Amino acid sequence: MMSTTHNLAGVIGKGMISTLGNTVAETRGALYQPVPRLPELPRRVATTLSLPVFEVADLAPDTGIPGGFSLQLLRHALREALDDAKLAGGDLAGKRVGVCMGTTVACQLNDIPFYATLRSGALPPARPLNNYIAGNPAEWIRRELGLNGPALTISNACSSGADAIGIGLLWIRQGLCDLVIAGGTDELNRVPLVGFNALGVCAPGPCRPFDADRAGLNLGEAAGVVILAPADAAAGDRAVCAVAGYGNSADAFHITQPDPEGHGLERAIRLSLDSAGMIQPGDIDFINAHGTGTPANDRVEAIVFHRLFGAAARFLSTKALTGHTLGAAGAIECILTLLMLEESTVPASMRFERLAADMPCGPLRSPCRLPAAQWALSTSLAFGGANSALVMRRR
Amino acid sequence: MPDLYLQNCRVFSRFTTPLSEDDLKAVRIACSLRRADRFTTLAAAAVKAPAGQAFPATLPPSTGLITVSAFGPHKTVFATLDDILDYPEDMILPVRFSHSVHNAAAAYLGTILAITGPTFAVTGFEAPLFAALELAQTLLHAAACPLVLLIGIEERGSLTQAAPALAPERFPTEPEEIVCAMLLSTEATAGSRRVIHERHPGTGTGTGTGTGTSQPAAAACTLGLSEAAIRQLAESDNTADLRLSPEHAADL
Repeated sequence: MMSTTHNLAGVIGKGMISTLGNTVAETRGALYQPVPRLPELPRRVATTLSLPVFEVADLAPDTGIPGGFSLQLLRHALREALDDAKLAGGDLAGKRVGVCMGTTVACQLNDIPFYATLRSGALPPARPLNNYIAGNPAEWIRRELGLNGPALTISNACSSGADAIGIGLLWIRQGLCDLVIAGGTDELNRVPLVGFNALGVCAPGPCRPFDADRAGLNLGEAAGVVILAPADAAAGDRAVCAVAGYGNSADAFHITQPDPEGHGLERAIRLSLDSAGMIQPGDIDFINAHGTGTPANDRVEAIVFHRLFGAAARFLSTKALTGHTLGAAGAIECILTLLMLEESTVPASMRFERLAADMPCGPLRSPCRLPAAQWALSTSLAFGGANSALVMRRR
Repeated sequence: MPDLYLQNCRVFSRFTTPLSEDDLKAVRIACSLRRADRFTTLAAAAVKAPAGQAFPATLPPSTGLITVSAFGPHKTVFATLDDILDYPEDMILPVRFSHSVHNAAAAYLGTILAITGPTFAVTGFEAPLFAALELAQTLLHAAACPLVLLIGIEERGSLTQAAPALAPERFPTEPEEIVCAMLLSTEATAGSRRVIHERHPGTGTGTGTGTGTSQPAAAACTLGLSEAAIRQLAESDNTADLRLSPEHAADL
């Protein structure tokens, strides 16, 4: 995706909640713990399936908020991001503030009791329908904060959060917005849990991204929000890190399987490098991969990384720490990548032990100190063959 | 921001050219959509139905693709819930679940049309078509693609049918079933129409409280388009500027 200019979107605020922590500060500490938390059987989600998941436990459900737990996670991350950016309510007055959010669960009315009543021929209570409508993430933030810029909710399955931040970058570049609130949110929910299980992609134990014995993914839940500002404006100029490039390309191959040769992913990565100012693959210091732990996804990513970045490609997956958080994944992985750039250290790719015979290269086995790291890439792949890549830069 | 031009447009609705189930069956066969749901078939019909105005048979591979819908494939979501209600959790059909996501239709369209440009599924209730038009303009301005194919889809089902009874203040009438295909670029060509759309429908003050309880003023169904706007969109021989505003939705 070539852009007319190569200017950056400074990240002036970050907010994140996942099983790594309820705040960015907690997340920063947990990211480098040598022994990660293990996924557990669901507690809040009623299911008969014995599938380990990464469930946020320290946030009591608030029934007063529309959109279910996804919006509650989003509100939590949004407040932290606004605080981090030192933006109180009145500070947004008179500014052109855009909102771009990714989600999968919050844009489906999958309330089972509601539907059971509806299909019986009776009229269910209106509240689930009204909450579903009021809970569209981008529209909800725009209303809640009294904003007047564009509001866009993207539902590109597992790349939604990355796409939302990528579009936020374009809005900043094009002068459409003074500030952009971008990110993603998704709760752990019974419908995707049984759905992913039906697809045969859930691991019976903790996921092992890129490992020869990987057996699938663990679902998780999270929200991640970044506040973007033009890097040539005062606030953006003070930002330590920036979003620098974005690429998106479709496989046009299959509804659930990625193109086995990864041509769509390669296109997305190349477009993101071009968008970051025609930087070269060799400029990328490390990659935060999608790395779900499914055989197909991890193989494709390893093949593409090897083809583009060579046998010494430095990459990891953070999904062994957070689970696969679907529409939030691209957003929280952008934030985790920014933290790695800030810390100049990339953690080991957890639970990777042995390289599979069909993979040309493997992820980092141990933490890697990179004092001069300047450029990082985060990749996202999704249902339907959607591929996205974000380039982040430490300034 | 450069102007946006509508190169081609097809609108299927009861106000314009209606689509029959036979039309959808023909599209299903022509596009090999044996396993796809009706929502995806509607999306494919937007460009492939034999009825309606002419539409380019092929598009450049780098064309961008945006689908937009408020309710999305809600019938398929409910079919997945049927499985959960009627069978053990480990016996639900994977094909139903994989088609219940908003971007399944975009994935099929990309394959049918062999386009690999930037691809998005957009959803919203306040003014979804306008949000999608804004995204199209953003992608074109970024030179991410030479053209954007924007497909709007609202499917009729038990949820839309129940909406007026459940929330009459929000849905005075049942949301209409509609499918439209808009081929957009930033260059005027013979027969193209300049699209003038309200870019910032909100009138916010930036002083919101964030208490979490706000409600949309109204749920703009039918993609946020009024009957008049739908008819205007379908005027293939009209080259006058096409003015679209979210306020048009109020009279539907």
